[in-house]
Amino acid sequence: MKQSILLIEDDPNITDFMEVVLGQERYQLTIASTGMEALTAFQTTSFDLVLLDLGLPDIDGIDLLKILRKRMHLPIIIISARNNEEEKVKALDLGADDYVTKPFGTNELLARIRTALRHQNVQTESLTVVENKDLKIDFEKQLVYKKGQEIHLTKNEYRILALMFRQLGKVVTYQTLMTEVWGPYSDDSQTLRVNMSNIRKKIESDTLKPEYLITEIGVGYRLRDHRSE
Amino acid sequence: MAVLGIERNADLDLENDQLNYLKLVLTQIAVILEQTELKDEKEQVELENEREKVRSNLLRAVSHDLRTPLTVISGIAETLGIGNDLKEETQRKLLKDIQEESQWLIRMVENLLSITRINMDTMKVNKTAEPVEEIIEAVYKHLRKVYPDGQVDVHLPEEVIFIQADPILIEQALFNLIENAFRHGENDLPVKLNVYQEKEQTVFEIENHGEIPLKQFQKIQSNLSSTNEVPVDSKNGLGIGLSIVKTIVHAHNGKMEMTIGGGKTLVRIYLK
Repeated sequence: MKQSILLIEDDPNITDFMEVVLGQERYQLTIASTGMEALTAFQTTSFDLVLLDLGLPDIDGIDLLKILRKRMHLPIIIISARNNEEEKVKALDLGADDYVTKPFGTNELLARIRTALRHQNVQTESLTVVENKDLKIDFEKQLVYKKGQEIHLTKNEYRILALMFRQLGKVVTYQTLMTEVWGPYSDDSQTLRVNMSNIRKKIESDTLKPEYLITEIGVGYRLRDHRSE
Repeated sequence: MAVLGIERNADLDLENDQLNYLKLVLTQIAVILEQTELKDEKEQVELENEREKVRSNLLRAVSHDLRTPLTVISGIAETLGIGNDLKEETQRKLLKDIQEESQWLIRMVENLLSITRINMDTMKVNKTAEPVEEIIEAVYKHLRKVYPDGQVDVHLPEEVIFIQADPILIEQALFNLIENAFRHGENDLPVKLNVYQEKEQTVFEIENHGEIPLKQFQKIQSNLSSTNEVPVDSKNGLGIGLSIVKTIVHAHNGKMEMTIGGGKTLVRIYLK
């Protein structure tokens, strides 16, 4: 069955080209050019994924995101302008699954869509063991392996990596990581960054071209999901 | 005008040398006050200059650097729209030109937009403690995307170094410098990016083979040291890229220098 996508975007030139691109990939595409149209569409149809442009004529995209998140669990990918990291962080913290930055390449967009849909199907939250390329985590034993070899991590390093595995393929913001690992009042991002640097030295063969922990500059980190590639 | 009051015991007269001493202290205070005021004024003027310069650079970029790719894109689109007897090979080439020119436009706009991250009232940026390795990783990823065949040799210190910076802006600055090195250096040899610490500062050093022509170098040098900027080479965007780097470094209270010699061009950025 075709998977259906709701594209909430008001620029007709963008929707024209997305229609072609997504059509070629055999997605069922519905277009809403305003927030109202989007909410109306949800009354009659169910979707597998939402692409949401934050700049809408009738409602603040962030508010629409809040409304959608409150009502449903489907993956939401934000389309955002570059140079607006605050907005991206806000959207992610409000439950957006991912973002693409305008101008984006079609391959990048399709990859993000595949990852988000896959993540929806194979939730890692409930699994006890997750394998991602050469990396494997065992949540019960609290151990991480690379190519079958156990990797020695400190307690906090393990907690960071475990959280990244639970959110496999998604961007996790600095604040989310700090809150989960050091508690709700922590604001020392430097400790987090040093921990991250140490984890990378242990799991990456070349930290300049990381295969797993990708820096999303100004926003947070992403554990690359090799399973959807 | 300023007034200074000094309280003293009523029944004692001031000796002459005491009075002179007081006068001396007062004169010095007055001089210092005046100097501070002048300094503030000078800073205000410099800030205004800086703002003006950024504004005029933006305008120049829009008028020169953006116009060429836009002309190409709309021209080709028009040609493809009417010219139905074009060879398939020609059509493909024209489409590729559109793609290249629009990618260039995208990078130009990214550059111009990055300037909006600088607070125009103070000409300063929002700084956070950022690990250098993460910024370099982003630069590397950005370069791979735009120049898949470009070679960069990166040398980073073993331990984590933090700089106080807006990471997006520093990424943009380093990307611009390496992009210039790719476009204007000798092609087949790798560009070197060295990061090291010197005293309290972190140094980013970009080195490429090939010296930039002396005339351009002199223009760049004078642009680096003065606020009156002359266009270096608006046709290929070297001027805009560099002047944005300079603005970014300036907003971080950093320093930038360029040297040529021994068949190489070297750019260094110093940040705290």
